[in-house]
Amino acid sequence: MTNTDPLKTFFEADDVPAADPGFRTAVMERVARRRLQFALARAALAGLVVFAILLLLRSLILTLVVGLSAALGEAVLVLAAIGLAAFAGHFLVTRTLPMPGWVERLL
Amino acid sequence: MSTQMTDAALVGAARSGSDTAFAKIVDRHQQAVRSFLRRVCGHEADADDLAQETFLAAWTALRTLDEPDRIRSWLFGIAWRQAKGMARSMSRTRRRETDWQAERPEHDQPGTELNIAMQQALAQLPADQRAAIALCLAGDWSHGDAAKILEMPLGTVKSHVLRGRARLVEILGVRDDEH
Repeated sequence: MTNTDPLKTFFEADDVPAADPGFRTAVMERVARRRLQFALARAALAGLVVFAILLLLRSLILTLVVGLSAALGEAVLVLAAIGLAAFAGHFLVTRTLPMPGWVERLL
Repeated sequence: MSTQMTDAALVGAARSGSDTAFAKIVDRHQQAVRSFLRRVCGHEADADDLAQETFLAAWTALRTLDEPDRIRSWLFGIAWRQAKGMARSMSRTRRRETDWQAERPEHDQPGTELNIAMQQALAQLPADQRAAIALCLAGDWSHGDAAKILEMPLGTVKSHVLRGRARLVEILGVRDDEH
């Protein structure tokens, strides 16, 4: 069609403004909302996957936790006994705590 | 002086997450897309809402765009599908398109006489004809491009343009020297 088309005048009167910041802002707001929805959906999906993995490995995790707690329990007792002996030795050698007379005589 | 980025460059930047680039794409194509949708829908508020949906869908599917330099025809394709979707949802509510248009205020904003006359004339055409007219007569798209955008055979588009044009000339009462 040529520019002399009589309908062209009608169509030109019907055109939207070339620049419309309001429209751009509205679109970008919707884009920001959509991006947030995607981020939330991704986070929810990741949480669901982690939950499912933990659920599948539940028995293995329970075994590990129980076994570890037993092993660590013994280790903690040994460490506590060693620490107590070390403190006592330190006080005895440095005389930083007043000792009973019979202990002093022994030393 | 800032150089004008090509559509392909803007698409590349927008794909990398640049909102500024996508905002420029919106600025560059909003007039054409909104004008097209207003002619197809016949209602400014609905057309602008569809245009926003169109750009949102484009942002979501930007990675699927094969030819970034042809983003405008891609946007028009999305816009046409959105418009058809809206028409389908209206028909699901068992209301004919003409009833739907009749129930709405003719214009949200005051328009010129020519503007109003054209809106009323277009409203009397079927949606497919309106779309073909909006692309080929108002938008200067070739029949081939319009056929791709509207996903119609070339002959159908040519027929829509010919018949729609004749009907508009008749309704508007303009002197037609082309035929």
